[in-house]
Amino acid sequence: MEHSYFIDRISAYHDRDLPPYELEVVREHLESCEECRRLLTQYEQLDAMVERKSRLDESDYWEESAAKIEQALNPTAPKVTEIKPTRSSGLVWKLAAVAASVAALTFITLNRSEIEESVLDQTAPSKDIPVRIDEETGRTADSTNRLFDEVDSKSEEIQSGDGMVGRKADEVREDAEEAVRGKAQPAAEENLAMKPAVDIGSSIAKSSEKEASASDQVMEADQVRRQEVSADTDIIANLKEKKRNSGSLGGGAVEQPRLSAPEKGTAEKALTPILEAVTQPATTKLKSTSAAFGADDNIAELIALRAQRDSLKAAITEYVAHDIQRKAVADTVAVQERVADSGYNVMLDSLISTVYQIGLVSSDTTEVMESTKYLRNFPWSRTNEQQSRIDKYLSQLQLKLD
Amino acid sequence: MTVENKETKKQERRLIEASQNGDTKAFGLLIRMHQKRLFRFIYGLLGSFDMTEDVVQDAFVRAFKAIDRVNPDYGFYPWLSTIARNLAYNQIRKEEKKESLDSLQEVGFDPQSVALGPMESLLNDENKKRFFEALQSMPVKYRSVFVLRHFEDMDYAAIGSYLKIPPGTVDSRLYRARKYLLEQLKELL
Repeated sequence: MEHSYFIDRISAYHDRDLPPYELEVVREHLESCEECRRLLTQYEQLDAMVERKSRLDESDYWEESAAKIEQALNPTAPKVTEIKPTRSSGLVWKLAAVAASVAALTFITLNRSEIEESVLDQTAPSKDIPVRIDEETGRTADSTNRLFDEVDSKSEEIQSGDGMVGRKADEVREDAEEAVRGKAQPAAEENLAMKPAVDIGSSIAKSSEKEASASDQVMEADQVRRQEVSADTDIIANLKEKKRNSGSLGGGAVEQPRLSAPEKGTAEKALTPILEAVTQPATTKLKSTSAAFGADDNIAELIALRAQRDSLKAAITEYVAHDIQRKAVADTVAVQERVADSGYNVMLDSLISTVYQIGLVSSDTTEVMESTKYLRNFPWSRTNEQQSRIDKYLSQLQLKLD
Repeated sequence: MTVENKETKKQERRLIEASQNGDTKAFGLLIRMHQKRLFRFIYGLLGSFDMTEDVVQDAFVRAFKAIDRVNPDYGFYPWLSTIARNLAYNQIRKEEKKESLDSLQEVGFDPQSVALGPMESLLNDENKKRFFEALQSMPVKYRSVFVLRHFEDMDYAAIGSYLKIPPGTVDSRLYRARKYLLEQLKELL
């Protein structure tokens, strides 16, 4: 058959939209024709480019447009703008708790990422996170910063000590738990109404079983949403005031919190389920698999990384659902921006790094390819910087696959 | 199915059911979940921001009025996009009656001549603008096949049946559209 015939067919072959016999003929031709192979690669690249470049960006337009459509559904309905200051919804603390879990998770894999990154001669992705938040936004919730700072400094302490590189994953995990538990507690005693943190911890642990009705949430959210806005803003103001008074993290006199103070040890109780959600399944699995795999550190780490990845995916899903609900009513822009800057991006950064590290650590080609595929079709809205990190990681994983 | 897909589908199902019970807030969440994707698709077909805005709004209003007909098992978007697609094609036919849009654009085929207008505010990246300019510079008949395939993931038979053209024509139009975009955007690959 003529070469031009195949040139025409590659497009349909790429879509697997040819009769079986023709698919086979084209496949055979591709084996011997470099030009057609190049064309096929271009179509694959075009797919990826269309996916990247056709994505519409965030803009106020979407909220305005949705409100306009809602108005058209029910033109007589009054617009909701009233904001009543009452009880706290604890959104800030939910985010802080999620961030705390992410910090712990990030720390768990920090050791491994340092080794891998030094081999690849690039910045450790996990370690980027706290620095990036600080430098780029400068608006992250104080408590989140604190937790990251503490975990970060703890990791530096350990790295400067002897034998860090050779430490086992279990030991690193224990340290991470201890660091986050120990440091989160004073923060909690200052301010936390911890129940929300317990809620989010449980939800991460049990996200797959979660049965909270979205429509119920809508109704409930309608009642508390407007209360949340001012209450959360008050908490932030309260935090800032406290930081000014105390002068340093966790130091100085602790002002009597405006919200009711939790019992001693509440923070530890609250953070335990979060950490257990990540470390327990990994540890339990580790025990049974380690025998089969000869207690290989790689396996242990892989299991922990997979658990981390799944927890993050669940947490992001929950976060996005919550965020969509918040945006359903005319919230203040400031609150939305703060929310977007803190929880979501931190979790996203961590998920990107985790999936990448799974690809690096795993010796199973299928798993490496799965990580590559996930990053290529990354399902969440992200910043340009996150996209370029994904692109960089993709090229590294491709090198490994090659 | 990934964890997030399962969760999203579960949530969407609840929202559809709540909307069927007259909950406009639940429907508001459905709007927010799907409006960007729908807007991209319809803009891809129509190439006009204003017309797209009207079609998207109209589609959501019609979807709400007929929400009882949606089977939550099949999801909301496929049904919504069918409504919007039909509205968009009505619009295209109207435009074609006014003047032969197809033949005019056939002569065009020039990304430089395309003005994105308000659409630019939804594209923060110069390369995204270039992509949409190149897409809009294609004649409707090529563009629509490309958009249905790439944005809506329809197979050749479904595209052919919807546009009332043979699958072979879908194939050749898609081939030409891809060839054109590869030439226009090769440095973005």
